[in-house]
Amino acid sequence: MHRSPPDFEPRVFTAHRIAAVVATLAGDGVAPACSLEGSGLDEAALRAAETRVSYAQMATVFRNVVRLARDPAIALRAGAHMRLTAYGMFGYALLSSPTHAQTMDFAVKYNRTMGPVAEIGYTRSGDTETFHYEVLLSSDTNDALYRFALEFTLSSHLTLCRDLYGESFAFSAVRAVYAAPAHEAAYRRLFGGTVRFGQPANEMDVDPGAKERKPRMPDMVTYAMAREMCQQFLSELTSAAGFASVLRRKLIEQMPWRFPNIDAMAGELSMNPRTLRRRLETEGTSYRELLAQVRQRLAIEYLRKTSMTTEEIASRLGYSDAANFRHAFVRWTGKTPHEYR
Amino acid sequence: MHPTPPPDFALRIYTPQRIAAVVDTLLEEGVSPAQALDGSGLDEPALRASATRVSYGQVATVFRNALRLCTRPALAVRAGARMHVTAYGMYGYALLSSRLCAEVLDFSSRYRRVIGPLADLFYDRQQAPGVCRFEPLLSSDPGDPLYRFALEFTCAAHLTITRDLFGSAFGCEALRVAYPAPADAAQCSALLGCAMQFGQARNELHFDPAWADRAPQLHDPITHEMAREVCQRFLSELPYCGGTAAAVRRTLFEQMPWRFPHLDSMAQELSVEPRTLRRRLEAQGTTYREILADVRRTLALDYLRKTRMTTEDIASRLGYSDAANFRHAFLRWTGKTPHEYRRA
Repeated sequence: MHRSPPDFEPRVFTAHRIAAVVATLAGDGVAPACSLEGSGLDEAALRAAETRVSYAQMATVFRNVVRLARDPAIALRAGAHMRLTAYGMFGYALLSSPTHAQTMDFAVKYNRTMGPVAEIGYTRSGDTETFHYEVLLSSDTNDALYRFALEFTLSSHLTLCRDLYGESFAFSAVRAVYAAPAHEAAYRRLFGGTVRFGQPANEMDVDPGAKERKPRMPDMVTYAMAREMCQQFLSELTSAAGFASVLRRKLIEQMPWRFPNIDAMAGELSMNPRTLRRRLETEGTSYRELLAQVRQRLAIEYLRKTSMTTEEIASRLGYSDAANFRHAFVRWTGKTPHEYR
Repeated sequence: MHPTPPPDFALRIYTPQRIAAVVDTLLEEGVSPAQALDGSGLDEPALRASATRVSYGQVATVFRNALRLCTRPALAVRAGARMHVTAYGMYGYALLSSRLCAEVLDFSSRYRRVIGPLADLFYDRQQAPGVCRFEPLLSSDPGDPLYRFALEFTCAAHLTITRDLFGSAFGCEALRVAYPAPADAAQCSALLGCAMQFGQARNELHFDPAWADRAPQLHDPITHEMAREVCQRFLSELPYCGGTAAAVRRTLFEQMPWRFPHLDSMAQELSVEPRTLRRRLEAQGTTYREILADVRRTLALDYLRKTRMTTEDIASRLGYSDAANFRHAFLRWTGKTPHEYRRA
């Protein structure tokens, strides 16, 4: 279950978790600017679709909130803001998943794509299902940030399950490793069921007697699409953290038709071409390689999803002629475009 | 006359959920998927495969099969009701994360072509905040059973989505449709949960305008924007998805009526050599002549159904040297004379 702790610096996750916490505290009368202090974020950034944040920024804001909040149970309340749509493609995959078993497999395999503050595991023994939570923001169970992150995660998980299975969904038991906090009663109010502290692991159970959780809107085609997008994001996250994936996204946005060379791309990113080259080098890749990856991905998409001829695809991807494209395609996939289709 | 050109029937770019919904509904009355899919080139596994893309032509084939095979009333309504918001991919996710009901409808009407709709949806919040208008695309003739099927399927699907977004309390007040009352009118009306009025000038779904300002339960501006961007990308790629053939077709629709460039000037318009144009169309299994005939045919049917133009007017608008030539071509396409067709 122990996996490497996340890289704290890359800004790759959406700002939903920060926004949820800031909004809850704003409801209690604390200005967002105070909650966001030292994070390099402002209120406008929280609303902008293109904002991406790092674990370091989440930790900064969460620590601010721990310090500023009058209500010690604020993290439990903030979790109520994390509706299914706050999880982007991850949430859509859960919603469209064809079976309960697939939903669980997916949730465990891909929950890292969302930049969770605690990683979720899942086991099933007999009819009892148990979720395990490993806090990522801090490893010290006495740290206030540790408790904050766990409370936020447990409450968010309850919100998500209610969006998936209906308002009547409930966990039957909650266990946390730290000692009972003063606001213990808030746990019982939120979760019902049994709540225990000082336990060997952070866990929540779903009762075997719980109503059957049938997916409400299964759709295999949409599920596959959403999962593929999560997979893509996950491999970008692990293969080339940060910069290379930013660049890859930029190339895809501009394609087809435009193929900036490295100088033009550097200009677009307002950086020196030499710096760009060096940064990619430290991530073990090159501009050329990224361009090839993006072209390959688009070529496959066009072949699969459109009726464009090889010639048209070649010209869209910026090859001088179809033969050059065909040659590159064979190198990538071992097949000609025609065979592939 | 065409705010957006009619969809290209041959282009296989849409996901297969609508066909699957009809096949699943027919299965409940004992019709095998193989029968339902007859002639469409699809089989059952293809309906569940994420890589499958289908065309309007295939949808029309399966729907016509369904009309022939079904034994129980209100098939289109029952099938459409299965279409949950997840059946629409990123378009569905954009709806789910919208801020207001009115925005859901604005989005639906602006991005409708992303999903290969069976009917175009129009919504004007300023003019009529409680009305959605539908214009079937599979057929433009209210007398065609396929027209009715497409409309009822779309309305039932629209209600299912709306309930996914706003909860089961959402209902509508009336559905006005252009076709005459069918035999199963009572069942359709009961399943849709609203009154139906037949033989109306337009197809309109009426609901309480107060809904326009309601917020979907799961609205999220950032996720909405992400999903919208994907839809936008699809929409801007759409003209190129069909390759050269679709570009030629689109250009013809934009220029028609009156102008019928021949191949050389079309090539010039598309900035390619005439030889290249010919070769590319050949590679897609078609010819310039064929596309031109298809566009003329589509327009001729439209004019006959929706206008009072004489055969002579239509012939000259479509670039025929005389009405006899047009009549001859029309007979070849439809097996009927223009006059017979209009009266039917």
